[in-house]
Amino acid sequence: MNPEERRDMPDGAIQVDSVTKRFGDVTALNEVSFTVDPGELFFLLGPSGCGKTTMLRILAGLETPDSGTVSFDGTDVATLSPYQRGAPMVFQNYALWPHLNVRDNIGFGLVERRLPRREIHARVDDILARVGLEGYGLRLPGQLSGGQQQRVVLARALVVNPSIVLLDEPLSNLDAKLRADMRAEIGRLHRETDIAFVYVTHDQVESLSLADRMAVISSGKLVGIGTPSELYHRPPNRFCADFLGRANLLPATVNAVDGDIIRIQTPFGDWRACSAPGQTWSVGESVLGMIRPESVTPGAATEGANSFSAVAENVQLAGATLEIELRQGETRCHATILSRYAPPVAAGQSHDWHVSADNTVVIKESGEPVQA
Amino acid sequence: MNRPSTSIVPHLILWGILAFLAVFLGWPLLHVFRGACIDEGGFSLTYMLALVTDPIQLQALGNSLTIAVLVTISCLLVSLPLAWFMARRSFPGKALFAGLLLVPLILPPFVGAVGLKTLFARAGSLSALLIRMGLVDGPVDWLGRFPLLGIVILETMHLFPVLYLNLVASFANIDPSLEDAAANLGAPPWRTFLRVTLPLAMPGIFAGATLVFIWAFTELGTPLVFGLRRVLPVMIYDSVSEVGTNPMGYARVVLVLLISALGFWISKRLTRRAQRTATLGRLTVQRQETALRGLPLAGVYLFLVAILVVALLPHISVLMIALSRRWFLSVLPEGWTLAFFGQALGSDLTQRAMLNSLFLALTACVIDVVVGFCIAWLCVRRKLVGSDWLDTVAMLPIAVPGLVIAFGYLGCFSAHFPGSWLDPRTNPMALLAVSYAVRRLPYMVRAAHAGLQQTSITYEEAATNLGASPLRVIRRITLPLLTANLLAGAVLCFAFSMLEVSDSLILAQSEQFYPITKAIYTLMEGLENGVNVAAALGTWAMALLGAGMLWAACLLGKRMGAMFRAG
Repeated sequence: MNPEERRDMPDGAIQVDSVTKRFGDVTALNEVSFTVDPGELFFLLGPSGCGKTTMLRILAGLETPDSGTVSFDGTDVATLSPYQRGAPMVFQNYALWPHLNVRDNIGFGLVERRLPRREIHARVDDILARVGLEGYGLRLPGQLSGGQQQRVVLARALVVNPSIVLLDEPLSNLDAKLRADMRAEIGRLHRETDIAFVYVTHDQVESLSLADRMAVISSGKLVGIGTPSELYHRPPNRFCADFLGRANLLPATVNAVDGDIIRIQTPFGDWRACSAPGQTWSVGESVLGMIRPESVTPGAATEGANSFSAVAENVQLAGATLEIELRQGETRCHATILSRYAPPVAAGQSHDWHVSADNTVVIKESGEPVQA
Repeated sequence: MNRPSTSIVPHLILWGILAFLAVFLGWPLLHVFRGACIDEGGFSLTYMLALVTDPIQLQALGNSLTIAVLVTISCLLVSLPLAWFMARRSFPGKALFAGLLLVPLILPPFVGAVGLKTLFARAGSLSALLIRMGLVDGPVDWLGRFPLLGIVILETMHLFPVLYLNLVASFANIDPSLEDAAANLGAPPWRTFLRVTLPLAMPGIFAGATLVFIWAFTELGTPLVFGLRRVLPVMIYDSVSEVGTNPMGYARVVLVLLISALGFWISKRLTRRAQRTATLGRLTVQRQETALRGLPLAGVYLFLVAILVVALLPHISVLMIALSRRWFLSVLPEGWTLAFFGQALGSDLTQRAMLNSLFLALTACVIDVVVGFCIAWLCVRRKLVGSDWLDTVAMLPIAVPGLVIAFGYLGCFSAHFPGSWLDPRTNPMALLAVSYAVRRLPYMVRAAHAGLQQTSITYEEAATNLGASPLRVIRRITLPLLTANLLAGAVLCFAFSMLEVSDSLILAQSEQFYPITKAIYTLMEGLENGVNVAAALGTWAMALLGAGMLWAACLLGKRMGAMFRAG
């Protein structure tokens, strides 16, 4: 990194530059690069074993990359030992010290920073109130419920006023109801501070709902980065399309490229489509046309949309939605529409459907293997 | 990218400990080998060969092996049913019995031998009883007739808890579903035991049996007290005075070492093969202990009480000797007194011996805690180049009898540092402390090792992550979390150092440096009331050790068994 760039770098940012890490024969991370802006809630998302936790541990200094650099706030942290990094981590299994009570657990980092006893006391009181644990200070970790332990771990990380907090699958040990509550709680705590959160998870719902931006990792490679909406609606590749939600992938060839609009030949006809930015397409290339089930809309085409007719082979009521399996010849496609009494779609009959060009995405046929 | 300024300190500690072990374990062993196999004319096996060709030497070897094998077998016979009942059945008073079964460990068998002598020797209780009942005409020296039997019984009663602890742990670690599966496929309980439980428990059985074998093979005090001079340990003890001049002593030590190492190696080999199968099943089901009722319960009680009575007979008789005014050709002592307990604390010899032993055991204990923790920490938490070595080397003393180490020290350090503080003839205190420490190091390493493995590394990572330097992490997190393990290890190191016999008998040669065990031994051979005072001193030591063991057991709970596991 040259000095000019460094000067532009705002406080608290993380810059990861082509980090590679191997464990024996296994490449856990392969040339991974990304930037986290200050105060951002940044997600690392991927299936288990993809290397996302390794990435987090490298940020914390608990693992050392084989090559590549990590900078905090524009400064290379390679020479900093883990205890000098100042990026507290929320561990997946909490790692609350069983011999220390809640206050001492939370105050641990403050003691290491040699703060006066009074200030430690005041700051621990303050954070206990913020996470809703007043009155629990003298309990031992074993006397707390899972959700309370989770709050203590968060408090322990936040109390040192860091500019970065690392979270390793923080909700994975909680039951479904508690998970939703804590997810909201983490979102709230993040909004109340200007701390950059780097949050590792395998749960796409968690990251789509919370993230400012996210990076998708597969088999040690970074395969997509952007806002949740960008990645969900304009996936750059097949892995992102599949991992972030359900996707219909239609075999297609490129007929023409017209600015941002790409014309593709699908089994359903000649369609207008768009793609994730930064990709180039050539006429005649074999590609995939991706449409999310919920963007398949019943009824004839409106202006500029792609239309087709197909038989509704199977219609299932899933409460709020109807899950419909469509078939035209050999080509199948899933549609999800809002359920109503007296559904507009009857099983076994042919209907008209349409998808807007905005919701038809061209992605490369080859690319990251699907693992999810 | 470079590693984040990895400190040189762990490497320094690693090589420091290796150097310590090289000087106080490797070098003496090397010296012993050289003494046995290097002649003026160079390499020669004359002395080694003499040991296995000369009839007298062969007899000594034969006696020692017989004792060791018989003790191992009888320990197995006692411990197997005991361990199985304790691991698989529940009955009232089980915890109490579990504690009582460890009591035999707190008395060096040679002290117990004094007690047994009083019961079974020519002028002992048994003779008196039989005469009174008119079954024999005159006093019979039961021990003199069957010295081997006496030694085997005494050592069995001392050592079976070591095997028992190993077995209980092995049985408890077997996944209950493996046994359920055997029953489900039609095996009745005893077939399940033979075909599933026993094979899976083999690693523990071998490990414990090896410890017992080596322990019995190298036991010095008991044959000495029983007057059986033709066993290897006693012959080694007798060659102490000519350590510089006669290579036969070295040759005997090498023989003992080779046989111990062989036993250890065989057990390791067999264990490794068994372990591959034993780790297939992971504990998935909680074991239900069957509650005993009725006749089986009575049977178990009878068995337990019988074993305890026999096992505690030496302890009880030692206590009675200490309390008895006169005990000669009568079933019970004729008159009681507390005077000997006072004398045991009052005389110059015993007071100095107590202080010496306390000082030595504490020093050894501190060395072991520091070195043992460092080794375990280096092996479990920092996998440095060389830490595997360190682990292996630190475990070596399990296979190296105390006799060998003590003899090696005597030969090596008195030859190389004559007259200095490292010369055991001048002042054995430093070497005694070191030998105690080296001998007990494996137990300490094991305790710390187990503690570190049970403590998730994330506790330490979390502390590092919040800004604690490596040293601060150890002080604020690692050590507090390991307190129970370290304390238990320390208590055991202390207790066994107080009990140490062979090192003490061989290394401490002048009265002012005698530890308790050597003082007891000297008192026994001494004055009129020497035996009583020795027994009183032994009782004091028993009380101290009993308290120590109890404390360690409370700290460790069920993990107590792990302390005595070999490999």
